[in-house]
Amino acid sequence: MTDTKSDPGSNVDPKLLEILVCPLTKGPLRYDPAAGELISDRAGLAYPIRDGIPIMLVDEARPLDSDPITDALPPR
Amino acid sequence: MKQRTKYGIDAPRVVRAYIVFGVLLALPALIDLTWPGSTLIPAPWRIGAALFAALLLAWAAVMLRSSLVGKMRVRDRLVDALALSGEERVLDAGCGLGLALIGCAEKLTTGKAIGIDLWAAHLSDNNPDAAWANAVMEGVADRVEVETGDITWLPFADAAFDAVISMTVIHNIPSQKARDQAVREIIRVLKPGGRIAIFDLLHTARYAEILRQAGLTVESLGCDLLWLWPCRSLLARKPEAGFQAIRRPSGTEVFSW
Repeated sequence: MTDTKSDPGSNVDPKLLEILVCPLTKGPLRYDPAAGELISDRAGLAYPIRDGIPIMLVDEARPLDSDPITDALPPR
Repeated sequence: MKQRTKYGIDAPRVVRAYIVFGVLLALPALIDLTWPGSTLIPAPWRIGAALFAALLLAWAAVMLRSSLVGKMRVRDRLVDALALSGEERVLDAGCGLGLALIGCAEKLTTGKAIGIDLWAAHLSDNNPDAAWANAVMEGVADRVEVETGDITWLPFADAAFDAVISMTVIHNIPSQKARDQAVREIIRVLKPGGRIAIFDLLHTARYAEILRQAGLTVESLGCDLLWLWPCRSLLARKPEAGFQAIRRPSGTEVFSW
């Protein structure tokens, strides 16, 4: 068994993606493999995937109108 | 076989504090009691200090036993009550280090057990890597997914799960409104005909009320002592689609206290 969980963002189970929704709007999510993000167009938020684990928290999500480079840095 | 898996100690800081204070109090009391000239603790206080130390250490032992033995039994009963056949998709709401998550995954063949948690640091030193490591260790990693989320705002579609399990989680949510919301979210993501098993230290009567209001039938799975504290388990069933929840005269609902 290979542990692929350390490969960021690239290994989200497609079956899991089928049932994942935006926690805020309960609307659909779009998977962006390049950015390793799950995008909720309705909420205007991008939820990060870190070490293969989707972070489905509004507080951790990146607003879509912001710059992904600067927002990749942790706040504070 | 199970010994290698580490599901953590509940309230680790409390247990640690009891052990440290217990030992700090027991040592001078024991020294005073064994050496006649020693007065580390004034004579009138000595017996009291020794007894209090013994109480603290005994309580720490009870808490440890609950974490290491008691919860395993409860977990097995809850998982059995879900009556999994193997193909289900199961949610562990607040999976922590994966005790219930892995218990469910062990019953699955083609199904998936999905664990969600906020990974609050003060609860059993939770983190997703440790939960994942436990799943790998138990040989169920192919049937397990973990993710980060808030159970009051579940990131899952309606009716996404065949079964939901939640152990000693919901009471950690500080307000009743938010706890009610967590129970409603669990109901929302459950398929018609699905089952929910909940075990918690507090508020189980309120969870049962919310579940019944939503049309589910609720029964008690019994009462267990966790830290000598009576904790209730409950099993709720969501009616099949197209059926209204009907309270049968035979009284299949035995959940009351």
